[in-house]
Amino acid sequence: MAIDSGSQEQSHKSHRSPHSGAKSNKKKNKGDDQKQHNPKELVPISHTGDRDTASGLWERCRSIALDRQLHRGSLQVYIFFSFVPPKINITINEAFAFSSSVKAKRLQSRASEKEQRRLHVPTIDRTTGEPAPYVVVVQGPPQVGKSLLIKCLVKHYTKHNLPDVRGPITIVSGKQRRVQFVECPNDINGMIDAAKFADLALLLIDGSYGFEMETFEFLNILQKHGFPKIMGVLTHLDKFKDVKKLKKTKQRLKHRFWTEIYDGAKLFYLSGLIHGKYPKREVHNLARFISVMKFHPLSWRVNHPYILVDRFEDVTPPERVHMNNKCNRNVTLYGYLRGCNLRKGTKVHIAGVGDYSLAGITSLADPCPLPSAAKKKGLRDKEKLFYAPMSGLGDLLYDKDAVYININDHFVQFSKIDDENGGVPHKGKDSDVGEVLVKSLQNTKYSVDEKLEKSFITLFGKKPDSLLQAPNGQEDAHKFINQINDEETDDSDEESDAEELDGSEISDEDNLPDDPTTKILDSDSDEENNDALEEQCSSKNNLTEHIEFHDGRMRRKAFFGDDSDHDHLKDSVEDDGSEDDDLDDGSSSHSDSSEDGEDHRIDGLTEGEMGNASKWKASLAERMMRQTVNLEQLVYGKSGTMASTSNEAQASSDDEQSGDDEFFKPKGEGNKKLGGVDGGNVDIDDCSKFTNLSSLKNWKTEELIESIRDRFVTGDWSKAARRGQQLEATGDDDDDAVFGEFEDLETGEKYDGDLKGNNGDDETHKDDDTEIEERRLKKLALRAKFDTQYPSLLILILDPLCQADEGFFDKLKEEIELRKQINIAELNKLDEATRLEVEGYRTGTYLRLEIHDVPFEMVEYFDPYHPVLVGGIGLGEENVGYMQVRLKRHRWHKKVLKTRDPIIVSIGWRRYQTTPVYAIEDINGRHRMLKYTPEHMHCLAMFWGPLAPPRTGVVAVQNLSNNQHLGSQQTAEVLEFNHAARIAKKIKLVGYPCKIFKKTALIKDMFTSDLEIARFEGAAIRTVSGIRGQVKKAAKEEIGNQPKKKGGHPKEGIARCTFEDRILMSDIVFLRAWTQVEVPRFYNPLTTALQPRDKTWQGMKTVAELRRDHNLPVPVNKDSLYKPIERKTRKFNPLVIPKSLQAALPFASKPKNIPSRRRPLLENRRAVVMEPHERKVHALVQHLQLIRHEKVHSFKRCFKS
Amino acid sequence: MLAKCREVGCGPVAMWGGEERGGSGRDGRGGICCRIIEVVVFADNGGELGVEKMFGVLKFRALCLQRTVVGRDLSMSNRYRYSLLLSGITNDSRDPSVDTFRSATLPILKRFGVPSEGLELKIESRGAPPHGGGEVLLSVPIVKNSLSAVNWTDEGMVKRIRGFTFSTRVSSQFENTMIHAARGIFNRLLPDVHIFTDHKAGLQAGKSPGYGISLVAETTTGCFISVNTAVSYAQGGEEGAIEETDKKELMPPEEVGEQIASGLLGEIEQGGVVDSTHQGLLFLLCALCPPDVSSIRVGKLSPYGIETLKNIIDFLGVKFVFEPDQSTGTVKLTSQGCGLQNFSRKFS
Repeated sequence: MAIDSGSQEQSHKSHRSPHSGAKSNKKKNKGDDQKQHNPKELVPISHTGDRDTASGLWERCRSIALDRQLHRGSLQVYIFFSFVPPKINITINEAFAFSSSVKAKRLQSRASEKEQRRLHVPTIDRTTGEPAPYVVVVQGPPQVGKSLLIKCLVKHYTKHNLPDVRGPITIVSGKQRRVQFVECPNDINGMIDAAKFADLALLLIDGSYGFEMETFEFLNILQKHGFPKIMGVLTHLDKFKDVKKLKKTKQRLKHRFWTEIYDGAKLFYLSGLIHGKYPKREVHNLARFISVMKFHPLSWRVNHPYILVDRFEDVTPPERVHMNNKCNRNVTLYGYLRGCNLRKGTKVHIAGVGDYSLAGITSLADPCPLPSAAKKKGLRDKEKLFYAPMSGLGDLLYDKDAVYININDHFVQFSKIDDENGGVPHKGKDSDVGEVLVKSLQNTKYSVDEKLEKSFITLFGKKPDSLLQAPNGQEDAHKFINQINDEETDDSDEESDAEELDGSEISDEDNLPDDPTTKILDSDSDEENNDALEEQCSSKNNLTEHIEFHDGRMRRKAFFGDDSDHDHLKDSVEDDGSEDDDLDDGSSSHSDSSEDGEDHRIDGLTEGEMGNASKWKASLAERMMRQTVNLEQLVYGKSGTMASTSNEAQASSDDEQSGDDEFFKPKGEGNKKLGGVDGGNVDIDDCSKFTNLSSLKNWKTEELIESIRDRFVTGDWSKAARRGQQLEATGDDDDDAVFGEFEDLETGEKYDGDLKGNNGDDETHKDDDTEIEERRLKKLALRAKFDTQYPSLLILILDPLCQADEGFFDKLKEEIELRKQINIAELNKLDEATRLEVEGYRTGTYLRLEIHDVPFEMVEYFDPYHPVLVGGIGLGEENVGYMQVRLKRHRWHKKVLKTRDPIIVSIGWRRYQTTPVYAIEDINGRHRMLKYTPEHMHCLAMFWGPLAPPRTGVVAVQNLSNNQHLGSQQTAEVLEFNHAARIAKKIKLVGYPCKIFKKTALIKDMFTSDLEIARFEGAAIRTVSGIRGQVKKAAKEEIGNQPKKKGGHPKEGIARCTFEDRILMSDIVFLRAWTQVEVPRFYNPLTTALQPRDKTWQGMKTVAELRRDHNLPVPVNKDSLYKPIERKTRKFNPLVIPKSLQAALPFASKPKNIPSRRRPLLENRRAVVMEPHERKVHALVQHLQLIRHEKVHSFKRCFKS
Repeated sequence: MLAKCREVGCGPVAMWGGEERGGSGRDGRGGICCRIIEVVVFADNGGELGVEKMFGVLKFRALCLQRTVVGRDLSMSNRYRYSLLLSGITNDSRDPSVDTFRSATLPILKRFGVPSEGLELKIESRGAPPHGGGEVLLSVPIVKNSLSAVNWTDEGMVKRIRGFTFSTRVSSQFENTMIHAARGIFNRLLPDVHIFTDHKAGLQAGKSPGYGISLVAETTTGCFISVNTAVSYAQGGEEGAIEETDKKELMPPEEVGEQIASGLLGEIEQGGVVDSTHQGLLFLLCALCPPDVSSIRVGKLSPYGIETLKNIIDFLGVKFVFEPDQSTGTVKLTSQGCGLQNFSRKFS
């Protein structure tokens, strides 16, 4: 913008410049690269012409700048660009001078073009904080080098060798940027999903082969799902031996690529492999391209939260799975939140699975955080983090309430699978304790509950002492487990193996630490169940493990701290979640890095438990304070303030609190509120008006009037202003303050004082902190506000012309920026828990979503090669209805599409099968049904499905089979969802006259009932011969519609019609009308994640497919066939004229009866003998006539042809 | 408004107590509820309404609101607006009157970015309870994309007071008396007080006699604080009872004037950018905004306002943060809108 306006302004000055020439110009341009930014601010100054005013302005600018410097820390650069003294300005002017007017004009037009291109509708960017890693999808046909590219890029960034690319791989690529690499699976479903979350798509193309259909398909999908950034990468270029050919191929591919995207789209070349890897230099370059890429907001994505799942766990209680292997599972999905903020209560759509409500959301510590903002160049090796749980990388995983340590498969050789196929690889003696435990774990089939029950039964059986001894010591408990194992070893040989191991282990058992017991119990049972047993075994060690199997890989969940702590922890977790934070703040002096939230919390608790009574009391008091009724609770009730970890059951704490609540109610007003608000009182008026006119004050008294005097313009303005300020000042820091008066029934004032004291003790330093923080934020907001206002201010001062030029656009942008800053400032005022309630989880946080009751197939067929997309569903988008889209058959699709043939559409996050009805809009606005889509035109398609907002892109695919979807994509765009605009089709009712009066006729067979006729009264009809008419009414009995034998009813469906002329019995009468077409209410979500990924999803079949399957012929309507037209020649009877008429006719018109003669008349009989001269004349005339005839004929022939 | 709240949430809704409430409490209240929903259903496209009278349950499933013109079409540019001819009671003492709606409600809507052209309420005739007979033509423009968030926490100072009195089927002298009484109170505070009279006669006067007044105080920051009342025979008790007693004593116009003026001062004293009647609407508008932060200040929360807040969190998932201010007795509410967009419009 800056440059453009500058050059525009300067173009007309070109003749003035003394040494203007192409060459010098060029040089100076090069030299002044840095200064090119200046003209925007500077030109106006020079334009004023008057030096004095210009310098005066300069002084003003500088003073403003100095003012600003008070607000800003590092402003120098900015000032340098904005305020360059006029002297320099002149040189720049000269530097921009043009030699020829043509060139100047061209540049000017180019500048204005660029100016226009700059104009986007500005959108507000509501993201705050660090953005989530950008998703780089690597896509291409099979065997093109996708995984290798990812491996090379990962190697380049992190110096790690990736064995296998599975799932998203997150990498810190720079100081400000993280990147997530995903390999796009090679089927249409995977491609559609990948297109929905890609920020950058790397399209890999086999250079030696050329483009393949996958690339174009993917491009097609990308275009309809927002069109993220795209970069092509040519591989396999080492197959070319001939350099010239290589060059030509590159050119050809590049241009083909450009036609598909845009001219100048980046196509990257990777020239061959070195040691099985892409050349380092080229990978480095590619990485650079990726790391400087700018991403534009895409309209669907900025309005919907979404998560690309990079970790997936099945958290179903194990005994439920044991009971029924096919029970619905609970799963947790992990990933960075993208798009927009995720509010609580938002439903999500898991692509390929379905819609689910979230059973719990937790924000976790960022597993791959950006490096701290210390000033230094580049990344240190330590900061080159990467995170790829699905690929089995990253050794530590932090969960909500546990830490997992991954152990590589190589080191774990005692999994069940090994047992099955490898027999007995390691004998009992050398086996590790852990292994034994795992063995026993694997062999248990029943949960502790069941074991207990079982043991109850055995109490009176053969081993009566097992349970009795169990509570006595850990060892016994362990034995007891073993014993149960013994009981259960009945089915396979592997069991015996395990038994053996157990036996060997018992000998070691005596000098084992205690925690193995807990290991077993812990891991095998539900957490709540094991509490009871755990309590019994007091342990000395500080570390416990929780071992579980996932993906055939062993994981040990590590618990730090002793068991009693653990119990304590459980309890506290079940308590109010927000309280924990407070405890942390209050009691622990730990570093507050959120990464190790786990032991942090425990530390806090242990300290709390150490017996420090005062601290304990403090926390209690704090908790009490939280429980005091505030306005929020009054309005939203208890549940509103609960827990940031929403899924935790809080029954116990709730009970406690409800007891307390009775004491803390505001006087009068509060009671009234509760009374009015609670469900019990339905009978009150549902009325917005709330003025109690009876309890009005007497406003005639002087003091009352004085009290509100300042609320009127006649009052004291300064006082009123102070009122406002006071509002601001106090409004900020008394979030927790109690509104209104409260009476405390029992302790009264004392409690109040106590509370205050605690408040003071605890929160003094906290208060300070928050105050400082608030001040800082306010300053920031102010500064941002100023920043946004300032440039325009400058322009406003300096050049009103310029302002008028781009005023609207800039103003719009400015407003948006201001809005954003206000939002940030307002939200930052709130404390964390409240903020979460108000705006939801912010984008860029690492979330753990818990989802209950998903089909077990999702877990069973989970494939890390297929990324899982979880998308939030917006308001009203879970509703199902009719949608109208504008659709065009893809130019490569061989056939047209048929109405009501099922197609698979992808709209928003969803993919589903539906049956569209195609239509086209007539001139009069009617939507006429089409049996088939037009060949090259857009048409409308209406179908039933979950609604998506207008302008959403749609991709439609006819079938999903892997080889054939290539040309079968259609693209479309949602127009509206509408139930009124129905699709109509033409209908032609055919009838035959059954009785004809003069111009009236009774028409049968057209309608089936009199009711139907009533519907069509007044409708226009016409006969085949073109006589027009009108439907009058159903024919009554008296005018001919008589029952066959007088007893029956008159025949239904005979209509009386009038025509403009008398019709014949042989005429056929048509009524042309329109009838509405029902769009089938069918939609079928694609459940591709619930089946093996290599299997093709099978939905509803098309009619043609069904016919093919069942070997049915296409039904043929005989009447619709074309047959040769046979027309009988019509035979007319001879004309007979009645005698009376004949008599009346004039002679000329009378038919004349001339009697036949036996001999012809003399005139006919006589012979004519001509003279020779006469004969010649006659012959000549005949010749002439012949010539003339011939001429006419030939002329006619010519004319005809 | 209730219906509107449910409408946008787009989930199926069952309302309890529709009929029963009408039976036990005020007569015809449930009926009015049903009428409102009928209008919504009429305008709604693809929604379903089912009433189960036995249980007093009303089930309503909304889909999308479409542009429709109900009643007479007055303007040429009806393409961009939504007009409804509503008939019934226009002024009574329990609900905000049409004058209040016109002078206080519409400015609030404008503040949230509803385009001002096409937003109007035309009073064709007035109707007082019990028989009503009033007719108003409400036209609402179509909001292009979405509303805009507000930062509206300064109530400012009252700069002028305007008002309307009306009388139907009674002497117009009643109005002058009311105005005189009201001015008597305001005169000590503010000189800029204008109260207009609107005497209706004949067909325009509806079916029942009545008179009333509505007042609006406009502040320097563009807040409109309003009160209104009306007096008619149906005010207290039930209809049947009225006919028996017939000539029940009505409140004299002087008292009405004084009472309403005091009411307005009370509302002003309470603070907040809107009066207690409009709290619910204000909250709803804040919640319907794009995901920007709105902050508003209101006086004491009214029961209806609280009920609306609950509905909002149920249907839209928008939570408000309360910052009570003890020195002035006001509450500052902050919320982030739910980001509702006009999806019902056609894109071409």
